[in-house]
Amino acid sequence: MSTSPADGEHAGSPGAQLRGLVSEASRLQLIMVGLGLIMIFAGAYLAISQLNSFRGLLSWGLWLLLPPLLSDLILMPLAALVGWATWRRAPVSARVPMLVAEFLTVVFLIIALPFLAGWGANADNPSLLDRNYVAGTAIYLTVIWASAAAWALVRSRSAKREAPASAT
Amino acid sequence: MNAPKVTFPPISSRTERTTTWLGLTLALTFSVCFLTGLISHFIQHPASWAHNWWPTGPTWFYRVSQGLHVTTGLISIPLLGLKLWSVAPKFWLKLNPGDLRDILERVSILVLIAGAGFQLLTGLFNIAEAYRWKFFFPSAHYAVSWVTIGALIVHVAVKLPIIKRALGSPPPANGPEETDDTKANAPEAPAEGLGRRGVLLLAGGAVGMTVLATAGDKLPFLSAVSALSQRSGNGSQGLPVNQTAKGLRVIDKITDPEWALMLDGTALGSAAGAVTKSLSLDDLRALPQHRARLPIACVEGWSVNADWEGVSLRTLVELLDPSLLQGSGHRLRMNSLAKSLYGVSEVSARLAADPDAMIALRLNGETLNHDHGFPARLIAPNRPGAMQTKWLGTIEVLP
Repeated sequence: MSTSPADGEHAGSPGAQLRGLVSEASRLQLIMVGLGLIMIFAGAYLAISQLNSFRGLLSWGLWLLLPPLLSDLILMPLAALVGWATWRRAPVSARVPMLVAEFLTVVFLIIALPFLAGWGANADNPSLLDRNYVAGTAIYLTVIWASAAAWALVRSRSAKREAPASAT
Repeated sequence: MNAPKVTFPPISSRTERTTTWLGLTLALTFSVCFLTGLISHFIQHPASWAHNWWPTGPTWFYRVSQGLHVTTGLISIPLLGLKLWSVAPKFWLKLNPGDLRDILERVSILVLIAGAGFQLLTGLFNIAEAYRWKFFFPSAHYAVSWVTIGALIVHVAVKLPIIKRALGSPPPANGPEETDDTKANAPEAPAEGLGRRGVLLLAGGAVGMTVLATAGDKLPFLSAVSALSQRSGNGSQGLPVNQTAKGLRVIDKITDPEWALMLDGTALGSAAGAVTKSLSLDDLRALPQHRARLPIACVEGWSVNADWEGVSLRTLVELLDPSLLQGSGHRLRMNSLAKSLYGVSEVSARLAADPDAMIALRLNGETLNHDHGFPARLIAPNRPGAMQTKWLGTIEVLP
């Protein structure tokens, strides 16, 4: 963490360290931490009071741990890999348009997932989930990538126009 | 710091100012989402000493409030993604087991990401009615909202010095900025990057796309382009439905020729003229009819306006006891013939006195069809669709 002291500066027992942290915090910070902790424990109490079975506990654990695991182990490494590959392999004028398109694609697909999967569809209720989500997704992704291609083309043209001018 | 040499293009976007602005935007969307969520929660579960807290108007208020709840949640998905990306290398730094500050901060961030992710994902899945879990969504979403906002307040408190520093320092006149942090992590940073402005524009673009793709079930003019909205907004009699008569197996009861709406004033004791009253559909049609244009605004975010016609609740209450509407008034409990989680709702005394709160018999100029609550349903201003009880059997006056 950027606020962590360098190695060796935090010697001392946990109690001494805690007293150090409290003494260097402002009054506003202490009030906010206190309020935040009260809310966290109140929410945790509300959550725990709803536990009624082992399967329920597993379900809670899964949905709470999924986001940090997904983020740390899949989404962020994927962003790093795709971003790195784009930056190293794509033509210079296509880099930024591709990064933007890649990000919008991932965001769209995350939001589209439960709709595309159709888990909530109900044969009795034709007014619910009544859109063609596959076609809609295809149209959005096409528009995103066509726009990125057009943007890259414009950037490459203007780069070529500027290049001879700056060479002379 | 033992910073691993992780490089992300565009590296120049990972600066304190970018992270701070993304963080403050998220703090705003999470705050709006939390407050609108609390409104929706306390309309449905008022404290015992505050049954009358929620106003009866403006009629569209809950529609806007819940639309904001769902929309601020959805746009937080790309914002949170960018925010995490802007600090990503820190997640893989080695934890120093002797450093209490490091441990506490990581625990608080784990709680924040777990809570925020839980809220955003279960909220998204609930909009798509994809109940892929073994808990009761409304209670779970409510409990974790406190954990998440609490962790957010702790996080802002811990980062307050950095936020102040980032907002206080003027941005460099030209090009991407760098801090010691990013320099240390990015020895091979490319000269060109998205930059702070680029990342914030990308955030704006992703937010715009998310609104376009999802808000059509709240804003009809967006319906044509909202590929990911829960509904097209179409439905029988010009109105979508959430619970169907067939799905709740209520058709036999509502088509019974003996159907009558029971007014139960037992709680009033002998002070009332008549303790109970039974009204057939013809009796209801013979009473003075009231008309109002009111929205159905679902907790899942979709909402549609409609023209309703029926008998005001106050007209019915006066049949039992004309004196009821004076003084403090009484709450009413609406009981559906359908057995479901949303088969019972309460109407506050304040709402019961509003002429627009009514037992609807007609919708958009036609007799209610089965799925819209035939023969009689509640429709009242400024409240969640889940509380607009359909297929009414009994209306109780509460003490």
